[in-house]
Amino acid sequence: MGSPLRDKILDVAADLFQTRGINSTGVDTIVAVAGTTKMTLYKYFNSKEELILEVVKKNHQDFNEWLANALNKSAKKPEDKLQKLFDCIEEWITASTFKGMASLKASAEFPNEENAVHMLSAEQARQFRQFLTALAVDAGVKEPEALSLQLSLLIEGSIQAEQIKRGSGAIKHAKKAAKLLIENALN
Amino acid sequence: MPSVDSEWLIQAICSSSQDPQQRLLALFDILAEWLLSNQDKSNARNINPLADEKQTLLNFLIQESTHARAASPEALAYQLFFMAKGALHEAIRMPQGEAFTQAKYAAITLIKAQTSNTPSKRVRYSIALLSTVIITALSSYLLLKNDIATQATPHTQQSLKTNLNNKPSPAEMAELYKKIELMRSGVCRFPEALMLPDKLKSVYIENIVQGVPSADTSDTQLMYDLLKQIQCDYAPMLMKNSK
Repeated sequence: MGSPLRDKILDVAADLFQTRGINSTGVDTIVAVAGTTKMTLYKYFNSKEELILEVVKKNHQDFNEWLANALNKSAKKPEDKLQKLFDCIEEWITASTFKGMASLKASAEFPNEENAVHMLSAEQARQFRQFLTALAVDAGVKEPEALSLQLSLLIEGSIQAEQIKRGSGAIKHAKKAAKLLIENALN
Repeated sequence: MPSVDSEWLIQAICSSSQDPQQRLLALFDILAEWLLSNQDKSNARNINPLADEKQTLLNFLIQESTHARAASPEALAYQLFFMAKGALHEAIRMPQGEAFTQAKYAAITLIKAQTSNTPSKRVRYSIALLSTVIITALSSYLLLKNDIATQATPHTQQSLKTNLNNKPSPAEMAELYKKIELMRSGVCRFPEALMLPDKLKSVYIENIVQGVPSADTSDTQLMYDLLKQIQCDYAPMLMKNSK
């Protein structure tokens, strides 16, 4: 599991999937950039699909861990954490290491509901919304599920836009919107 | 996903209404209907009506936000664009969900935040609040006078009388205005206790639900309490065609 070469393949794949698209990126390209062979890649991942699933899982896990940590550092009270949510999201999006959200890319490129990648992406979206709902419940929001859906749509939409045009500064508008929606929900 | 020209979307939005705020909200209705009517078509899932590579749609939203007298039209346009993008993505992923409904609710909040402080809106806000007065005065008079009021518990009657003298806070008044505005988009059911005589009911509907201004002043606390008891259903109204 913790092999440096495996991690390298994952990193390279994540980067290429983000910049060129998942379906457009062949295994040949991945191994060439990673400086390894197809044989090695298939040693760690049974198929391209498995590699995609691992990239999406890792990206999601990294994001969740980072966000939970950032929120805990930013505030103690649940309502304050909720208010800080988009500050943290903005930080994640504008970081130079930001590679986009693999989950969004995945669900866009795999629209078939029965596809494993699509199902993983849908499950991750559901989990993220559950996380937001829990945050909203703790903050005393009257309709936590409604707010969490609104915020998740806003986050998804703004990340998609940022992925298309990095540094456009549009994220600040999304941040303002998040604050308004949260204030509205708390009142 | 391959992109499509935003022109058809802009045309559909323009056809839906002349009012800039309604146009901004129509974005969500039209996308929802587009998705619904294309769900069974295999290629629909591969088309992205919000790719907007030339920013045609975004520029249109900025223009409509300006016409709607938004304090920051560019910010509002981006915010609505993000909501629409997110909603489309989510609705494709989960067709049975409430993506467009909640996106539209959010849009209403965002539009209100940008337009409620412009002078013309302030005037209308004041008039809408003032318009609750006739209802408050008339309804409190009739409630205290008629059989329903006499069947109320002493506590209720006492609280009605007491409430007449309490002024709502600014937050409560904003909530009242929000409720009145929201009611206009819903199908509302009045509890039996509020079965007012026809004349009063028509004034109530005309002034509250339809927001026709009137010219009297008084305490709005009773109206606030009455409004809290009204149950409204919004989902069918939100998802129907804008005319």
